[in-house]
Amino acid sequence: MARRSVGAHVVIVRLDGVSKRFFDGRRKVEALRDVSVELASEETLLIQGPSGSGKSTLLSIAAGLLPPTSGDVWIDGRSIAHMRDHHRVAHCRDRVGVVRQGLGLIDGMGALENVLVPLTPTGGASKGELERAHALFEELDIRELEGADVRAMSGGQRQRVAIARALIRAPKALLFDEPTAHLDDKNVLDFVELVEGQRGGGRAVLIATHDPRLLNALSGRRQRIVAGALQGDGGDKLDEEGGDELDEEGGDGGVP
Amino acid sequence: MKRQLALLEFALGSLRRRRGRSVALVAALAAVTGLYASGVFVVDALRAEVASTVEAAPSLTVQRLVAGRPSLIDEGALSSLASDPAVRSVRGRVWGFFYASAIEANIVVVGGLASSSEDAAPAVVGHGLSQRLALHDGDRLALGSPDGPVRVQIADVRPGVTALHDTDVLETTPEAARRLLGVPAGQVVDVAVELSREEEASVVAERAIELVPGARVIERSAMVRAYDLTFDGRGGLLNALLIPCLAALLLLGWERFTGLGPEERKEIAVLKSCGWHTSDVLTCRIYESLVIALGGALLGLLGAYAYVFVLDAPGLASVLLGWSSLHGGLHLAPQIDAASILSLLALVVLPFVAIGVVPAWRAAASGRTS
Repeated sequence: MARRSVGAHVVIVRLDGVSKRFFDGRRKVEALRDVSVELASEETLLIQGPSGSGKSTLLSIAAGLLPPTSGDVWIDGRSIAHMRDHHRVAHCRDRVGVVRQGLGLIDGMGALENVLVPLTPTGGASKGELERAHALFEELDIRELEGADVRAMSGGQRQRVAIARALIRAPKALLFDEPTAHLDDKNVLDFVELVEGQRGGGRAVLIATHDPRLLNALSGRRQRIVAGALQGDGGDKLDEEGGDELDEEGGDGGVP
Repeated sequence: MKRQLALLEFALGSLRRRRGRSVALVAALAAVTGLYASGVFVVDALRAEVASTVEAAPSLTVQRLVAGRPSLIDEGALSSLASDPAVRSVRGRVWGFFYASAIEANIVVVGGLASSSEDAAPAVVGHGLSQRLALHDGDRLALGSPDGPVRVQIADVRPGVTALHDTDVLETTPEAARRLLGVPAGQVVDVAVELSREEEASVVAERAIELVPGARVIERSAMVRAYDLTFDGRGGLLNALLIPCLAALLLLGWERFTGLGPEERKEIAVLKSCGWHTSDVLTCRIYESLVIALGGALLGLLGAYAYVFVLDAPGLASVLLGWSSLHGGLHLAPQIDAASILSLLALVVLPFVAIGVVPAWRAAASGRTS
């Protein structure tokens, strides 16, 4: 398929009628139902929905980390739904960066070491990649933390390290799962500023969240997901009804 | 190669991050390997010892029995055997046990040196015996005998052919040995027959019995069989030692097989979400297991080597070296059988690595990324 464009922007991620089912013990869980969504360059898409609604599953599939049960997924112009795991991972890791809810930093490692982890399977960081890592630390304003153990960092600092790691392969899309769940208000605003910067650089950004602070502060296209199904435009601002759907617990309990 | 080095470096980093667990696993493997390797080293060293002893033994040893007891034999009784084309040499031997009160143990006196006209007969001892009796070159001794003291002078201290020889044998002239052991001239303790054609052993043995009625002829092959039987018994003891080692190894393996710790599980999910393939995760895991298993096994082998060949296996020696309670001074010469080491490494390393990879494969292939 030719690369699809939306106006002047190129579609980086496209989910086409994607469903995802899995078994949780004996129970069959339908995590996503016929989900179709596109994410184009320079776009910010906010997927909002309560816990267990399928946000994290959608994110994992959009990142190529999970194959869909049915439907198709296109990453940077190539269908990955029927690719073998090995090829799917290889195709997606250079194009999509992911920051998980728990950030997924490896405790006991330094910040720079954490950022370079994605490069290990391809033989470690080249000189250019190392320079890029230093530049990312500079850009994210955590230059002085390069050698620090991530355990000793604040939530905001840890998040920036996780973002640097997601950006180390210079992906075209950056995906966040509940990025502000454990941040205070100031760090939420810092995060918004950081996302705006990424968008300005031409990168597509997808954020799965149910944090009203983030939904109120960040502009971008919104879609609501309920019980695994997308339900059209989530609106520009959180309303009373939307707020009622959101519970206080972070994360998608049923997402593998 | 670059990828493998990067994965190995990451694996070493993982082991460093879980230092406590890594050290505990290495220590447990070292203990299990060391325990079993100690037994293997003792038995291998003894087998080598016995092989050297048997190699040095004559093709046939002829003893005369009277009422079932070994008795002295005329020196020339078997001299006619020397003309047999299958026989290379016939030699009467004077040897016997001499009680050394200084060490409260018997030593073996052998009359194997050339005769001497010196007033003190020359004697040669091994390093082991020289240490036990505090003997040095030039020392003169007066050894008690039924006919009064026999004077000998230490002419040389040199390593024995075997560890047993080194710790146990005092070699002197036949005359001095006869006086010490009360063996009259013209008689010997036994006769050593060396064959030029070993396959003729039974024929020559029959002739020896014809010449000395009631003689007992010990063939070298019979000695080999006797030692094998002895070591099969000791090998059984070694197998008994193997059981707790295997049990410990199985427990270790089970601990690894039944699952990963939450930290390891999390790390695998993180690596997968960072774009690692399942094969990358498994390669790392194999490197981790290899480092632990090889480290533990090699430490265990080194420990066992030091325990057996430097410390003389305190505790284990009294079980595996039956006669050590008589002299307690047997120092085993290092004998490392490459096949034993390799099978031991295979026994420890391969299952440990294989078992460690299974839960990692399950976690990595499950698709969990959070």
